[in-house]
Amino acid sequence: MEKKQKLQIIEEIKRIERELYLKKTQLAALEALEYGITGPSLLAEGLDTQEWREVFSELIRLIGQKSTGGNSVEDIKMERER
Amino acid sequence: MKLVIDSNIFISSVAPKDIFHSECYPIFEKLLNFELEALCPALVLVETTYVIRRRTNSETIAIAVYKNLSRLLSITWLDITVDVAESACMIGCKTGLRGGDAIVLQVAEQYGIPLLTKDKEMKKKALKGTLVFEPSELSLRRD
Repeated sequence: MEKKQKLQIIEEIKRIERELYLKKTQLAALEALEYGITGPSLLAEGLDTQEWREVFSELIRLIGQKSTGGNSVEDIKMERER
Repeated sequence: MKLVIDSNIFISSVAPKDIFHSECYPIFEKLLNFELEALCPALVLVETTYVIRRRTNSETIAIAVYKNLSRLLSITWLDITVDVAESACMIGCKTGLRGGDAIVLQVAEQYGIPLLTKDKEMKKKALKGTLVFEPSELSLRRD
């Protein structure tokens, strides 16, 4: 009986730790949204498809200006190997 | 239509000089128009942001990419919990794929939906029963 109770407590601790981790992740995600200065022209939200297209069109233009190109498959392979 | 979308698709979509941009952007446009729904592990968000940061050397652009992708309502970002890690480990053990590849494939397997990727190795090694497509194989017309 004592062993069973001990296992139950261990399981309960694991469950609480998982919930704590999830809450911390949610909080970190919300805080990350506040991080860095992003001008309104570079940020969309909601369901307005026109707004989303305009914002990403501007972002894609900026990415094109600042980068020389590449191969996304190779980049991700490298990312997952190191 | 619901799909798991891999990092390489997002990167090619937002990087106009990427060699796969013209093939991947029409898919991304469907997400912007809310005509397609994506389920992705949070890892995809991180990888996409990192690669854009390195390619542009711009913190501002990388943050903007992260914020917009994380807010886009047609994409559901999934946490990598211990249960997810366990399933991904099993997939990794069976296929010999990289850890990141297994985490992405795990979502497709768990939800029984196709994976969209440009990575031919993932397509080749995916478990039987998991559908893996390239953008060109999806007959998604722009009209």
